[in-house]
Amino acid sequence: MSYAIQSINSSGFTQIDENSEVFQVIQTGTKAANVSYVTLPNTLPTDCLVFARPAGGRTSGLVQLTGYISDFTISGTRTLRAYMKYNLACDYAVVQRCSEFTAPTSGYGINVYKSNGDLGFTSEQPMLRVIAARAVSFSNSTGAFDSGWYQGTAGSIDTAYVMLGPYIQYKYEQYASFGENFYRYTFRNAYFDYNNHKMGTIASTFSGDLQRGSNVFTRTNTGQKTEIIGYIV
Amino acid sequence: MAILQTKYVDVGVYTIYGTVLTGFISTGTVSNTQNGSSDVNLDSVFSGADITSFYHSSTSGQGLSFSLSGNRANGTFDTLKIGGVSFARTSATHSYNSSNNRTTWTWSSVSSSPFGTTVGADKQVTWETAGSTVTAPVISGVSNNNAAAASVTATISLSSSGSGGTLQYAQTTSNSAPSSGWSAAPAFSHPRGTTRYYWARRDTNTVTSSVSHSVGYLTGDTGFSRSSPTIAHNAPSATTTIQYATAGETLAIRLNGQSTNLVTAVVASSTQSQNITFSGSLPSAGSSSTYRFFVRRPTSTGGDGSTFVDTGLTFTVTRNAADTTPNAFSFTDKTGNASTEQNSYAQITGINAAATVSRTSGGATFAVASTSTTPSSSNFGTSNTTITNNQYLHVKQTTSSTYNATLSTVMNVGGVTDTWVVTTNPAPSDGTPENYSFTDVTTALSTVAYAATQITGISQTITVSRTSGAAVFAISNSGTTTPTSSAFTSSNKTLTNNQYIWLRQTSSSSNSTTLTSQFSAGGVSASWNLTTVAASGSSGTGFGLRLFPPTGTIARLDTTDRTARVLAVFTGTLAAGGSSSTFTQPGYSSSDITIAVEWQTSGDPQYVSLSSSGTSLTVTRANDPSSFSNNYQVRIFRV
Repeated sequence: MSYAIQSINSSGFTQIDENSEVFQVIQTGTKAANVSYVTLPNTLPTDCLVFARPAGGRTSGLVQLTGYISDFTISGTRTLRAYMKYNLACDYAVVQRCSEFTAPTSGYGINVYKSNGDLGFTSEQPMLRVIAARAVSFSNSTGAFDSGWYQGTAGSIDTAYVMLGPYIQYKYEQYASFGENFYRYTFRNAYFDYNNHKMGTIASTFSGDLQRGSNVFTRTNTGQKTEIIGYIV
Repeated sequence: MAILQTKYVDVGVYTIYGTVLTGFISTGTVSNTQNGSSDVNLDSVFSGADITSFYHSSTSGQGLSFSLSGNRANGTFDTLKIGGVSFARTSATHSYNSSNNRTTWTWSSVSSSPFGTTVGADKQVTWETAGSTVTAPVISGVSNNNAAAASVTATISLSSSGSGGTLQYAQTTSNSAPSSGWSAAPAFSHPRGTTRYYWARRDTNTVTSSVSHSVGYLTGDTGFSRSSPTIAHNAPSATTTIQYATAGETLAIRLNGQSTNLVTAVVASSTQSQNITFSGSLPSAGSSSTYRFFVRRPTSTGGDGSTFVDTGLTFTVTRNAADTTPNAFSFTDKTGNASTEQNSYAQITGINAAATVSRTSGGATFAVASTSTTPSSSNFGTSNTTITNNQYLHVKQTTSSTYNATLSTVMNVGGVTDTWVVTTNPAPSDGTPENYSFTDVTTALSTVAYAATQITGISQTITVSRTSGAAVFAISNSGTTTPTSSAFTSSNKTLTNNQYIWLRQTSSSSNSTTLTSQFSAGGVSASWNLTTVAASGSSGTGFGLRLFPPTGTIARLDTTDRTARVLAVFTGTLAAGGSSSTFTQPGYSSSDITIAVEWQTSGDPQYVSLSSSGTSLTVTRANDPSSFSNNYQVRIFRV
């Protein structure tokens, strides 16, 4: 190690080193219920991440949450939105790479710089603390659903956020059945099991008729993704 | 009147019983010149005749008498004149006495001695003829036949033969007219290397002037063949072969331009070849010298027998340079059981001088011998030595005690090298490896960990299997480079000696949890334990960094925190119609759960897929009906 500092936590995970930069919180807020999305500043970088949870968290119950980021430009104007479950009020936090912050020059704490001079960590900005993460792989045949991929202890997920992205509409199908044609969307939902202090994934679908003779096909967002739950501090 | 010959009488007087004898009788002297030395030859009057007595007797009736040796005719001269007094031959009594072989003319009536009575007085006496005047011959030259002999025949030639008298010739060694030795033949034997004087006359008074004539020596043969030999770099002598020189002559060889004979040899045959060997003044190695033949002709064939004459014939002697660089040689590599002695040899050729033998590297000992039979051990050593052409260089070494081990020795002969390799036979087929073990790993939670160990001590392919546990494994030739992710499986695999077994497993997501896997390689088992670190105490203790924001109410970073740290962000555009984009993230592994990947599309979001192979990731857009392109963002980070 030639630069900065390296900090390893009590479980052996590296927290800070000279080669990487942490995600730190740039913005937090709440999407109201019965609203599809919140509009984010279009100055945010394209690679920012959005974390969300049921507003205020829970201590019990079961909650499903989907959401994704929409980033599009119309007539030269960029629009950045964070979609979350329509009928659920959600807290959200936008995190971005530390290097995209302006390094603070006042206040307390420390700034840690990478070997290339970029800011890798600053104690001035809130942190995303990862509770657990797992890699998943979608395919046409599986959405990698799991009723409890993270098992925590009492209260461990009560205030936890999940990263939007893996909880998306991952499949669209047009199919025929008994001479009729139909369509079907399949969503992946983060599944907060506050009762059992665990986090899982669950599918939800909705479908409808299509004109007879419509094309039959399946389109899927497939491949690898990572599910993360964590705190915002 | 012509004088045939002139003499002088130194008068002697001899008296007996009253008779006085005067002239040349028991006393007195006859000579050719006045008061000269005695010379009684009267060849010009009577060839071969000598005057035996010539005197006057005082006894009456005895008178003057003149005697010659031999039986001489009463002729040839007409008048005898003594001191100017003439006595007619016809007045004399002519007689021959066979008892003493003398012819005598006696003038008995001469009463008074014409010699006088004075002892020692010289009286000129001439024998004269009444004929015409004698004219001298003229010598035009002398020639010789140049015979191949010690002497030649010289012949006097006359430009005028003269007249009167008797034509006679003579040869003398000095330039004085001879009084004797005249011959009617004009040819004389003339020794080579001498000057002789030649004369001619009609009578004693008409002797010609001398003509000197010298005859030199013949030189030796200057036309014969000879060879120009090439000799070895260290030859002590050189031999040239001559042919068609003249037998009996002596040849000498000298360094060209020098005067010292290096060798002399008598030519034995005029037709057969003959070798002449010499050892002096030979050229140095790598150079040539020119030599010149000289010849000495013996006196018997007209030479002087002592002088060597330049023949103008030369030849060269070339001495080869010393060649100590042999032809390439090769030892036969040997294979044998462990710790056994091995031998080999190579014959060294292509040199003409002793070459140095040395061992450049390796541990074999060596010996030089004249045969291919291995010398006794005492002859082997490691010190430099020398070897000559066609000798054998023997090498010897004991094989290693290690199976398959090779021992190489580089031998150098005159700069040419060969490597001799001695190999120990492989071990008997062995499918049971040496005991091995894996290094247990203690790591963070949910972390991919590896272990590798090398398998040795086998001489055949063996099978590696996982007998328990969940770690996957791969086989590799490297113990430092991690095999590709796809190489790790739980399936049985084969392995050869010195290959590595690599293990991989993701650690438990719980603290202080050990995952044990057991493997068998050729029947020998080993276990691997992958253990997660123990949980730390409460927040603020144990490891890590704890930072507080300005409010100080909650740690901005705590010792138990896991952060999300960015590794890379890839963005791009995907065109409609199933296009894709591939990028590489070093260290990426789809099975490493500490590496997170999140992607999304924007613009006109379409269905896409993200796949990976090793460290390569590919974003592919579905073949949807949309004609719009859309953007993608892929973030890879470690949590």
